[in-house]
Amino acid sequence: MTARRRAMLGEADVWALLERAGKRGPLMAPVKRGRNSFAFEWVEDPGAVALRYVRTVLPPKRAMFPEREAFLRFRRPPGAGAEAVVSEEPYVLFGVHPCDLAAINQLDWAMGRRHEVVDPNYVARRGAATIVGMECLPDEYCFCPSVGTCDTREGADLFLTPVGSGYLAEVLTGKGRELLDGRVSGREASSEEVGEAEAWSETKRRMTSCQVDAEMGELADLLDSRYESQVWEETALRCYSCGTCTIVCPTCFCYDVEDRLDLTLMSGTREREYDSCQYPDFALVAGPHNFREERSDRVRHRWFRKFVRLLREYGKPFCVGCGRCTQSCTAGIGLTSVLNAVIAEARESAA
Amino acid sequence: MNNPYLPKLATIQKVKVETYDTTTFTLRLDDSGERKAFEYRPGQFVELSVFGAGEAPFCISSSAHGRDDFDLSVRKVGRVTGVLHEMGEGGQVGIRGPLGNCFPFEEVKGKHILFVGGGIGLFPLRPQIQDVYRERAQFASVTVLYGARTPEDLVYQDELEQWQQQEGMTCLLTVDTAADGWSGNVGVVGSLLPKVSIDVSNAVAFVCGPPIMIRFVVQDLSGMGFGDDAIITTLERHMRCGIGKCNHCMIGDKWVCKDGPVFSYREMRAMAEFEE
Amino acid sequence: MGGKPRVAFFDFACCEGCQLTVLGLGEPLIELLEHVEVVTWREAMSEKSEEFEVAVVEGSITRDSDVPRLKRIREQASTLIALGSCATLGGPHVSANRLDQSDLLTMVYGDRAREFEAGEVRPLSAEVQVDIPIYGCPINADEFVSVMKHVLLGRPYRVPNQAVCHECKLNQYECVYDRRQICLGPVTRCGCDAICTSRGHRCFGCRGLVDDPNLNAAREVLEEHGYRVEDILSVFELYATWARPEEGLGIVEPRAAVKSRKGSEPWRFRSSI
Repeated sequence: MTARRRAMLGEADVWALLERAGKRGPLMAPVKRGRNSFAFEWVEDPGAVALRYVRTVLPPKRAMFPEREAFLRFRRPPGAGAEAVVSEEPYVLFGVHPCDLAAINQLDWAMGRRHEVVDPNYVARRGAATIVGMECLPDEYCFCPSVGTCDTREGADLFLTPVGSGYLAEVLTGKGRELLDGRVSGREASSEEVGEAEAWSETKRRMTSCQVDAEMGELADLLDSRYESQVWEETALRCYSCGTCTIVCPTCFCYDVEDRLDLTLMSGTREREYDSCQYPDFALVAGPHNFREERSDRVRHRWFRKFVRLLREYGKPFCVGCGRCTQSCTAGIGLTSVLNAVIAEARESAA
Repeated sequence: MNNPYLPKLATIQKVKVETYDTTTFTLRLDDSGERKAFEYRPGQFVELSVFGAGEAPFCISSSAHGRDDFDLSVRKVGRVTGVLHEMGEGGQVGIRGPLGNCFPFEEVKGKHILFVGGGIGLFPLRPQIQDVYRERAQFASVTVLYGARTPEDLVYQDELEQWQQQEGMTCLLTVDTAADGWSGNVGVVGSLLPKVSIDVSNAVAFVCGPPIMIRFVVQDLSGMGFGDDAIITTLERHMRCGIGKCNHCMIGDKWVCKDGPVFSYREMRAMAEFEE
Repeated sequence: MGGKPRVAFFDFACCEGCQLTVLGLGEPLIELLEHVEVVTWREAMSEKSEEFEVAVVEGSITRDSDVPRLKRIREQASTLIALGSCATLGGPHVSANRLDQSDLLTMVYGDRAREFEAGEVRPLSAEVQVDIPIYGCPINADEFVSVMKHVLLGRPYRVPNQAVCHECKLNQYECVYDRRQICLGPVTRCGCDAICTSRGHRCFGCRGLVDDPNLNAAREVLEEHGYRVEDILSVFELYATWARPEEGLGIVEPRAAVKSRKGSEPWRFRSSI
């Protein structure tokens, strides 16, 4: 491993970096969509990129796991056939916050080596990415310190932290070095500047108002003990099963598949689209038999999947504290509120 | 890279109507190299593509022994199965697999083998029955109990007759509701269990059928003294991807497509979401 | 059947906007005509035929005298498609059912009220079996094409059963609630690709309620946004009246002997296997 290089960039250097990244190939970055709404999009105009934002509607996973994606082209019989559709075109994904980096690492595992077989489309898109991370400040929905993701650098090739009027750039991989070298006129960061960048971590912790009232190591057992909790039923009374919480989640990776024919009716594409365990038909099988028919079963499944099942298998919760689900729930169901209610019950019943 | 989402082409060799809504399709992979590489064990499933209609999981219902083709027995329930049922010999489909785990075989040698099937639950049991019978001398006894709603719903009728006559094998049938000409047992498949006299301390039961039937049969078997490890079943979930990614088949902390579809009753009880 | 399947368009009480949407399809319509023969379509052609396999019916039933015609269409068609909110849900004019029929006629026609007939406004499914509903006011043209492909291949069509939020989020539109406004997206069936929220509007619920709407949540949330019970009903009134959201909202007791409101709806819970 070569030593990390820390360079100081002016804001103009960052714009130059975006400009060049955009010329080199596709560029995905956050852009402003509504009054207070941002979205990761493929940008034509690097000038439209938002350097500061709190969160986007969909997480940046859409660069490697698009919300709708054709992954097979087929022909119907006679003369049936099928070819895989996999894109390996290199691109730059800019402006990924630490929580979303942590989520990409989790998906690397879930869509990658987990279960021995890799998802070829995810892995190809992931390999084609050069990721530029960006330090951020939390709002009232963020709880990255609780789930241990607020200092994530892994997954990024280059990481930017605002310092003074510029940015401290950490080169983390060869891809990151390649993106930076010879393109922008950075200078070596001073020790004061490095210190200022490192102070962000503490600032973020101080500013975060939302938290999980348990250590991650005890979470699975606490929840397991409250499988029959009334909290699931109470939450279900407020839950629309609209799926928003899971569609916007950076760690969710459920999808549904459908064949779409073109108008020749002889050929078409097999496409996948984000699906949600909260939809009533998600666990429907022939019979018909639905093994999570009750809304409360589906609500519980969401928390158990994140904080019990995948936590035990992966070692960390499948939640990165980005706050998207809570912020976008029109019924106002808070991920940490529900979690903390169950934790409190578990502690009470254990006492 | 070997793309696990890319189906291999296969051609329908034979179509055998089992009942008014079930049919057995004999399929053969088109490519000889792929045929050779297609090794499977009883209990495993494939994802079958009807291009333009979609993909659905089906257990392989024939033994691999001595064949380069395989059977999928299919009940017509929806989109993919509906179109498949309209296809005849020579029809082209896509196959991914084999996928999932398999029934224990070597591990249960020397034991009394009891198969309990309900309705189309006989589909996944058939290859195991065929393989066990082929090595009959390796097992203490072989019993097949099979029930369906009516005589019209009994699948593999020729084979059932054969099993009933074969030496070294007991095969008992029952129907929930008799029709004219039915002289056999009437009642749920569990009602055949008292007719079985085997040493349950050295026995294993393979159970497959609708959820309600599994629930009652498992209760009966436990009552007879079968341990939780000695009851084996396969779970039906809607496996979409078959490789542990899409999460449709997740139940409790298991992914049916990777951890299953074959589970012991002990494993099933440990799944929080399994309803006993 | 031999040859191309014959398609006939019909309409009852409606604005014909859904048929207009089909007419406006452009290229895909021309491609579709490679596969079907349109034999009756008052809005588009003067020829007529009583012989067809696929009937596409827009509009709701408002007069008892409409029923025999609808039943004749049903008898002739091997596939009956209900086109748009009026045909599938009764349409906005279902709100007329809240008024006394004779008052209503007088209100509209004054002295000549006796010359006109009016009855309970109802969707096609209240009178005949509908094979495929295409919701929307107006319909989504892409969904019409998709449905026709399924019909042409004789395959069951899976009607979307997610909330509009699903498509709104996939398109990354700003949430209407984040603009401090209310929206029916969380309880409304999608398939529209969230066209209203894409233009800064709220969802008006034109595709009706999802199969299992949480109306308790809807009431609580709307009340928290300052809506009173009667406001909430009026929010739902435009399109969801036939589904009687007031029962789910806990505002009235469910009507016991309601004429089969959910009828025989074979597209519900159809397996994709």
